[in-house]
Amino acid sequence: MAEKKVPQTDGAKLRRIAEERLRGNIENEPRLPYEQQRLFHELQVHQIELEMQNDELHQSRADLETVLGKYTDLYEFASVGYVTLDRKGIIHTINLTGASLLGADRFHLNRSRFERLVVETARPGFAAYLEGVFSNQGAKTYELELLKAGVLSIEAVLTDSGRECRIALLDSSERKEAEALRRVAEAATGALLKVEVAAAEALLKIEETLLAPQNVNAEIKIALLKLEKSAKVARLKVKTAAEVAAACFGANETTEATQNLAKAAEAARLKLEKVAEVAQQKVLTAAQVAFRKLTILESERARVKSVLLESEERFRLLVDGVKDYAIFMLDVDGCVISWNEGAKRLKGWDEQEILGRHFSLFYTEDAVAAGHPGQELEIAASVGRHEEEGWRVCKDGSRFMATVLITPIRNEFGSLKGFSKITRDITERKQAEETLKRYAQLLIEQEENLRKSIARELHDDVGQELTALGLNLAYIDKFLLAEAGIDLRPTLKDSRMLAKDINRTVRNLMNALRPCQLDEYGLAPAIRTYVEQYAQRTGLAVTVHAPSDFPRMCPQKEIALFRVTQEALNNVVKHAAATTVAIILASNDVPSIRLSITDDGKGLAPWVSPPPTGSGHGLTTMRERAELVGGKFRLDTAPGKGTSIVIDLSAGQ
Amino acid sequence: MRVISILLVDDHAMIRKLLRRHLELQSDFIVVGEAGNGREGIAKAEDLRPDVILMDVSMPGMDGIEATRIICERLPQIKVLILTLYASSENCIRAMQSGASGYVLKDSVDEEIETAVRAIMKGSHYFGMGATDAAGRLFPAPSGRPPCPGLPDISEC
Repeated sequence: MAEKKVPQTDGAKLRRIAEERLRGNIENEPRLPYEQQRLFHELQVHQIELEMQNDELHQSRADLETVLGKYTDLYEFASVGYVTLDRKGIIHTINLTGASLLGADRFHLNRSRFERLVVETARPGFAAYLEGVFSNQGAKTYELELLKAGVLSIEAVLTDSGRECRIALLDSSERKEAEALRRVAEAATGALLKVEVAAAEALLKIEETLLAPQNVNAEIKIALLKLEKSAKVARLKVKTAAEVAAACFGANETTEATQNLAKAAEAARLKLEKVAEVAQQKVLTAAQVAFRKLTILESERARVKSVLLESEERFRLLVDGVKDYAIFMLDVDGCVISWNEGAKRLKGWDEQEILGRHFSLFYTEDAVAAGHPGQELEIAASVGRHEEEGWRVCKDGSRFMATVLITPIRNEFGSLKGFSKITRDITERKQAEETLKRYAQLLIEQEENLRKSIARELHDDVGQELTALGLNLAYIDKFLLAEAGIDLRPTLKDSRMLAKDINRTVRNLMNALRPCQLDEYGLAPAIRTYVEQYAQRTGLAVTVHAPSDFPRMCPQKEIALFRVTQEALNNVVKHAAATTVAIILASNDVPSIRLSITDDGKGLAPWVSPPPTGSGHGLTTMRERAELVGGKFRLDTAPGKGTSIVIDLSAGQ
Repeated sequence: MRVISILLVDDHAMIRKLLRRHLELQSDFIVVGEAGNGREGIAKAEDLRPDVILMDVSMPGMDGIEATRIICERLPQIKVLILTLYASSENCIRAMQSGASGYVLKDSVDEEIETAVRAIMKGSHYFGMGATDAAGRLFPAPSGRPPCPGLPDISEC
């Protein structure tokens, strides 16, 4: 526009151009006097100048209108909304962007109060802001929340006249995008939280429901593990998605980038929601499976419980029905927690008065002082049972000999819950056993006495008589030979030989019945003598080791050990196929002695040890013989490993 | 010819009687006395001082082994020949430990007694049939009296 004005202001140039154009028409000019001619020329020049200026003005107007259109478009469609308000807040002008931002058409907005577009709570603040603007306090940015447009950033400036202010409405798409992203982030975080909470709750519930009882079956455990794994994977995926979203928000700088980030965030959100959904579904499915199994399990438990109750009832009836045995239970500390009729009958305590009391009541004072009751429980708990025979005390203080079996009771997880105790009065049996033992010992003594008596008679009568017979026959042989003639000599010789043979037989019989050495010299000499004859008879190499001061014992013990030795040596020759036998007699200062008879034979099969009754090896007899005199019998044997019989015995009376 | 004086110690009178008859068939043997148990035998030995005592083992009161021990301690010049029914090394060993010079089983007495008496009178040990197996292992060669010193401990046999 400035260039178009130049010809107007440059009058000389305009005249020069006008005169050049007039010069082209000069031939047509009428012949006028000079003054008239000059005036006419001046008029023509001015006419041309005016025409030229008129053309320029048209051109300028067209240009101006074009520019105005452009500026109008710029104003109307600016990315910023513009609105002009007076002091009263009346809208005087507003561009299309502004109207669009405010969510109304411009027609209705013009001449309306801007304040009506502002949310009510923000109106006092806006009024103060506006007042500040009109007080010429300079332009400043203000966040204003509008009814339809939400929060906008506004910036107002006072016009030159000071009667109006122009407000720029910043429709910040970045802000909107940021808001959208924030919502996405919130959604992502919410989804993540939701998934985590759902997974945690599901796990917790399942763990509480299923894991608390230790008997959750393997399938449920596996399902639970799968569930945990799924939840972990889901959490990981969600976390990854959230991190992607967070990264996108952090990089939010440009509009294009923002759009990309928004897309990425949306994708992350969708992915996250899908993952969350899948995870939740997995959790749900696993939980359903687990609950189904739990239901089955509970149903089975109920059935088992019912069966157990029935069984318990039957057991209770059985236990209560037992009268000859005291059957009761102890808690882990040894206090009585159940009591049957047999216990009442045996020990004299009623159920009500004994429940809760410690079972050491049933023991003798000595046993309690020695801590025996507690030791019994410890042994039972450690080895699985404890059995013994011993004296027990009744309520009235009387005693009875009892056989006791204590068994630990454990729950399904192996925890000790208490003990069952079965007690039986074996006083009569024990007395019978003692009587039997006495009779057995008596029988043995009688037998030994009989043997001794027979041996003595053989020695004192038969042996001496045979000796006498031999002397007589020798005498006859010497003096009657000549008169008796030749026919009697062989008979006499036979008779003398016969007398010797009978004497030898009697001697062997004496030894077999009762070795005289046993009574005269004791066990070791008796064994040596017996072994000597045994070795001659069997051909086995038998050694006897005994200290020179090996003590004498009571006759019952000596004869018992001697008989055991005899029986063991008989076994060796009958069954062992041994080549050597070692007999060792040892003693110590206690004094106690040990007798061992060891062979290198084929040994015994395991089922013979411990010795069964009637095994044919005389083991039971040997054991009984040893035990009758208080000895402890032990048999060590294995196929191919020989056999060793060991007896430990007190050397006292 | 030196006559050997003999004391018989046996609780069986019949045996003493027959032994006396049997021994006195030998012209150089003379039975100077008899005793029915160990204690009596000791007394008779101290009183009669025989050359040889034929000593039974199993007798009431004091047995022949104990009596032998005492006699050999008190009257070491007297030789004691054990006559017994028990044919065991144990008896034999104990007899020899007590100081006896010989050991003869009664079932062989009719055949061995003269030989045994003469052998111990010469200072030898004599172990009759049935006793030689065990005792022979202990005393492989006859040696001079007294037999007690140097005898092995019976516990080691």
